[in-house]
Amino acid sequence: MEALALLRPWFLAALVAGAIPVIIHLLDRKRARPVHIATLRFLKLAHARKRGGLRLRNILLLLSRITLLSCLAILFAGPGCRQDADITKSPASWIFVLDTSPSMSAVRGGGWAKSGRSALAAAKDAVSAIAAESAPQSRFMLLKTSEQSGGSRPDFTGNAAEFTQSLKKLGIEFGRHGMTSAIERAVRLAEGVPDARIVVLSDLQKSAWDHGALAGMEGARVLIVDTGFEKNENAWIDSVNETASEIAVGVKSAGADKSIKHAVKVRLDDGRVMTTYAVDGLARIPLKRPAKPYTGVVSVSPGGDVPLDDETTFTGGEARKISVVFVNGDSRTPEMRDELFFVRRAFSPDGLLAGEIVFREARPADLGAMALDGIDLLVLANVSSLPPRGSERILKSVRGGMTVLMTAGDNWNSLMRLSAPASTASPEHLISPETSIAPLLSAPLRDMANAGAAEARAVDIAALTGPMEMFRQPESGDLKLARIKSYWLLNASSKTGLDVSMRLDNGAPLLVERREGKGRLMLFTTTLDADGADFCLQPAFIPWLGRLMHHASGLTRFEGVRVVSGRALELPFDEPVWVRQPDGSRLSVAPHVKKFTPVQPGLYTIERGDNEKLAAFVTVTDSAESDTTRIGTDGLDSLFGKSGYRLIRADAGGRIPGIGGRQDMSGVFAGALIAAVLLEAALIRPFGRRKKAGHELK
Amino acid sequence: MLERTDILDPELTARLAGAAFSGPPTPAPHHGVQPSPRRGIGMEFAEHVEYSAGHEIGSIDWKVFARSDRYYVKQREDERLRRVVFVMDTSASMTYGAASALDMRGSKHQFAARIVTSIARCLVSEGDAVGLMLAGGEFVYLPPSGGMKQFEALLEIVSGGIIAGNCRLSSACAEAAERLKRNATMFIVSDFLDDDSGLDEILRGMLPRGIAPRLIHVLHSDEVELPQEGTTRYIDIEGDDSLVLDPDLIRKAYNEEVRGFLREMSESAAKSGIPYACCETGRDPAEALTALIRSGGWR
Repeated sequence: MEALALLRPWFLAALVAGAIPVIIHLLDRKRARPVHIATLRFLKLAHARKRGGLRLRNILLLLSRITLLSCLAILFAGPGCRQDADITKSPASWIFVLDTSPSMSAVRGGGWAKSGRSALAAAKDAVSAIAAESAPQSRFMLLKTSEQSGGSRPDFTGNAAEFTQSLKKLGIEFGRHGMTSAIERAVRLAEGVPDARIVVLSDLQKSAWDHGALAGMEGARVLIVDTGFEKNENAWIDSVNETASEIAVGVKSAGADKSIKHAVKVRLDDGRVMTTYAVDGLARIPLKRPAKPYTGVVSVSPGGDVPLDDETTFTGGEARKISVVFVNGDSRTPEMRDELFFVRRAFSPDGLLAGEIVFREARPADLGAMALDGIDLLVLANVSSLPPRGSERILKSVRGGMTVLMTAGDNWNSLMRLSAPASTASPEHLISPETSIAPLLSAPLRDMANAGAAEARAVDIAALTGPMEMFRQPESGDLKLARIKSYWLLNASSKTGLDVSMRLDNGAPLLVERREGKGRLMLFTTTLDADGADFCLQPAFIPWLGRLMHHASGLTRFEGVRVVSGRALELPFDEPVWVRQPDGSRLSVAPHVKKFTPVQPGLYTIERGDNEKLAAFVTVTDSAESDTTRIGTDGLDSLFGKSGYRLIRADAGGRIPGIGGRQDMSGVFAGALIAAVLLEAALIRPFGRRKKAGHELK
Repeated sequence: MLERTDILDPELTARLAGAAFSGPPTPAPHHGVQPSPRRGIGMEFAEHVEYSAGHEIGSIDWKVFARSDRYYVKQREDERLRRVVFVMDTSASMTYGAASALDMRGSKHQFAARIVTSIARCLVSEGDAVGLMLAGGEFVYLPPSGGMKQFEALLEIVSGGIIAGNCRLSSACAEAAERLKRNATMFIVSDFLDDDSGLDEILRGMLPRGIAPRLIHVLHSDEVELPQEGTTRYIDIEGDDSLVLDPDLIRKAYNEEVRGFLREMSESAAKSGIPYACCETGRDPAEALTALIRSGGWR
């Protein structure tokens, strides 16, 4: 149902101007200029010949002038029509679910255009239009999709004026977003509210919607307003990984023309600028690392619809050698089966990792008296026992900043409790807590899986995160080829603060770490040698090992760390520190805060009270937000059922077809006005005026 | 009312004199200089013509009758003074184009007066007799006579004549012909806008009596072009009738009507053997008048 909606209805009073042509016509006849003429004979004859045409012309002229003046009055009044006149008459309770995820910052206009309004702006316009035209007693509730906005109450509730005011302040929110949970909240809020209308405004980004079926939707009817682009195109920086010799930048794209070459530019804080093109989603930029820790900015061009992900900051460590001590728990011969055979090969003077790492070897027995100062990484390979007080000494060093990496091995078999059933899901420790190595484990071991060669597991490439994220690109090292025959299952739930950076294809953790003081405890749940896995035989082993060493030694200072916005981070400081956020604001953080959740994308620095910089890390938007692939109607059908929702698309003017919004009709009336002017021009006297006015009566 | 200077046009007079009345003015104003094509009562024989009603019995050549048993009349070169009468239309329609009701400058009447005085001046200069009859608001008749006094009298009448009312040209022409009796030239100067259906018959009836009519059609250029703009109330000068219309919309049709009227006038005159000239204000009338004077010669 449509109704006329005027912005300035009082201008309609000017419609009486439509009578002006009639009045002028009548006055014109009375005020006609008198001219004496010798005879009327010829005038009468000529007039008689033209009478029919003149009458028609006069009628058309009158109509065109009335139309012209009427259109002018209506144009001043701001003509438009409402799509849904009902909303102006009967009050309703509007519940708006507004997608505030970073993907909504995509700029309307599509393609690579950088002008126009964002998807969020279009959504806000659409909502504002409804608020402006709803009946006076209507109530409005707003639910944001950010998980920080959870709870049983709406994020905003109020009348139209307050609602419109609150919309102005609304912007993109970083961190985790959940469309389905927000919709479930809206449905719960609508229960018991008469005449409640649920409107969801979103760009229909697949990753935000694809979180399982909606619950409690029986009988609910949701209107989904699509404010995104039908043809999405976006490119973004997926990963930035610094190695000793280069910066590897992963570039991903969604929906874009695959033939487009993306340029990647790196600007370091020392003024250096390096540019290259991404090939197969990876840009390798050779880098001579600065002597001090540094920051840089990576940008990709063209970046597509979402501008937020076109540029990111990163931090890098200084060019210093990492001190690593390998403790080999395997005393067997021959050497080919030694845990460190392949590691030694990598670090040998002609090895691929030569020069980057100061490599030493030790035996478990040495750990009782060995000085641990200055060691960045202590690798305990297949070590099942430590000298007395060995674990206490090591833990003390870990709390001071050292990292311990434990790798599994057959020596651990002797520590197994034979009484515990191997297949049980019981959280019982298979290695006794009293065992000397137990305090150094990231998480208690729960079981050992021995799949055999035929049923060996592979690495889940998609689950690679944190330091191992770079291996999602096969060019960095193809871990997909590795096969793991035996590995240890963890009782991960008994320990908090665990980060899993590698998993097997069955979900079992492969590389986990847990912060302990300023350092961290890492655990590789299979063997470094070929006994439990063939990692060491793969071409990717050396890059992977180098990455592991680099990460393990650098994590204590946070350099190179990229944290996804909205995900919690543990700050291992035993003194009060300040966290300076990307917008320049500072937050005070108490010692050993277990959960600090950075939200703003950008560079965070951790400082003492005296502004001394202790560490830095970078927060980036979730790559899932950059993937603007859209959920189709099939996906929505599976979420809502076919009758549970109605999907419409906001038009370019931010109006929601079908439920209010004002459609500007100035064009229609302007067209009528122009037509009237043209008709007038065609009907009135020909162009050019005669200079003589004839002989008036005097 | 017009001043003498408004109606005297020496330039037009000179051009007409050069074209039709060449030669120096005669020292004997009672004799014309030009050999007249008119056949009358002079001394030199010209030709025989068959007798018809109106011819004098005494002019019959009885010798020819004796030889042929038919009546012929001797035609001789007429050596008398030429007699010319101007019949001027002074009806209200001739005021069209006037600057005001009291100032006839720019009007058709002024234009007609210039034509009349120019031709009259030429004739008087050659010793011919000129007369004048006003046909309109008042009846004025000046019998033909020669000399500058006569011309002065004609000027006085033309400049002071009352221009008003309707005009019955046919009555005026009939009256003039009656007074002239025979052998004269009659210039009828008018806009011919009055519906006068009897005029043509009257003019044709003059020819056997030796009275040669010549028509000078005077028009104002605005009457042809209709230059007014915007809604206009047109008022008939000779009546109370009026018409409100936009001239822009009917101008083309109006022009066609006027042109048709002029064409009809010209064709009607040619059919009756009456010389005709159309003179439009704003245009030089000399050429048309010269052609008119030369056509058919003097009778």
